[in-house]
Amino acid sequence: MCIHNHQLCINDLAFKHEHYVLFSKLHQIINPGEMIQVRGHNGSGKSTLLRILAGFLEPHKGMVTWNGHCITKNREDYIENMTYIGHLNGIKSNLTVYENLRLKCTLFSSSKDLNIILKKIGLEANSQIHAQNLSAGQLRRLCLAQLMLTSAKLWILDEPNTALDDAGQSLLNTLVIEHIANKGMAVIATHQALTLTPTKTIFLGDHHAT
Amino acid sequence: MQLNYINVFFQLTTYEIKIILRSTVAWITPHIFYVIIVCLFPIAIGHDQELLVSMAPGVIWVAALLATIISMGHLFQNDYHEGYLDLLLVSTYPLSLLALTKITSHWICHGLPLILISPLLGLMLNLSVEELYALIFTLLLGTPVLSLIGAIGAALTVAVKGNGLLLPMLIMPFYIPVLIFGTGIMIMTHQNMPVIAYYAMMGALVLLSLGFAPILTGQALKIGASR
Repeated sequence: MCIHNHQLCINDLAFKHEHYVLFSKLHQIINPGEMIQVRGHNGSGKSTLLRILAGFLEPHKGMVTWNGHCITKNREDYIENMTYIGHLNGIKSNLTVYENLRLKCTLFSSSKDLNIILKKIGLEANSQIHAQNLSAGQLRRLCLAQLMLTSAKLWILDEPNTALDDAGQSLLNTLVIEHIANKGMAVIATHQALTLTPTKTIFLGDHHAT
Repeated sequence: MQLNYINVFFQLTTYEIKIILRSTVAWITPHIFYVIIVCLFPIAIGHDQELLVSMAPGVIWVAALLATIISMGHLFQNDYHEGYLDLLLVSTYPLSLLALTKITSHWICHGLPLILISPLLGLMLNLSVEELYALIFTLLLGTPVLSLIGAIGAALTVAVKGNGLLLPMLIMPFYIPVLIFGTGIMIMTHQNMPVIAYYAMMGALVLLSLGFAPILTGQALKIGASR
């Protein structure tokens, strides 16, 4: 397989809680330039699926492969190409907005201009404010700055539009559209309709919908 | 790349230290706890100076151990609840490096102050000058081991709800070697016996845990994050 042609492959994936099966027999292939929307009612296992895709959880059956290699066995290569944003923002509350961004820069070895990013996420005036004083929507914006810092090909986003206002939503949409246009890949779990029509949709919980 | 790792290590450690020092209450309470525990002993035992001197090494070391365990609980707890741990897990740097930055900053913020306070407490317990030096040197070698080994336990129990007492129970047994050599050196110093071999053993403990603990902590964080 050509190295430049990345591919994420979900193969016969199943996950069960102690007593019941959350999902099973899940198949999907994600190619560059494709966006997958994960849909399903509350508790249908969207977050669990995304945590499996990010390699935090082991599935009970089946596996996820990146360019043909299992993501948990070949984790280093996968991590270089993947970024994950979960429910929690991962913001350190007693660092300022600017310090949080710098910290993320270090973690993702990025050398982008932080002032431009601050302007884009609309927190330019708040850069010296401690993150614990930000609103939920502002924290989410700061969290989404991660998408501008990483050079990852695959984005795994768990309800990225929570708490965002209209401007925040459109910022997120622009980021995703740009990313997909640049041959990126995205797996997004959300209830809301997306501006960009997803290439494929994974329905969880409600098998009739597929 | 190696130079880059060193650079990242220093940058991240600086941020971690900032984070610890800015949550003042969580930072300062273990130190006050340490002082109070040591102060309770002379009050409880009375003015029997011989007994006090012979008990001092044990008292100070056990108090330092308890204080370290209290501060250990915070090591990954906030990171886990704020989702910062997920960020560390998808960072391109090795988890062992990231774990080492957390351990180093913990030692600088919690281990070093313990060492700085201890001579005062030693004076209070009527230790001689040689014993005070021994106290400082043993703590200097011992506290890094406490931070390093404790981090493994803290990482393993990060997702366990109500893990208040689980962490001490898990890591206390592994603190026993440090405790034996730490107090051993002080007792030998009191009896004017050669202690160089004991220091060598403690140095070996530091190197051993420095080699293994960051890697094990990194692995434990992966397990801890899979909730």
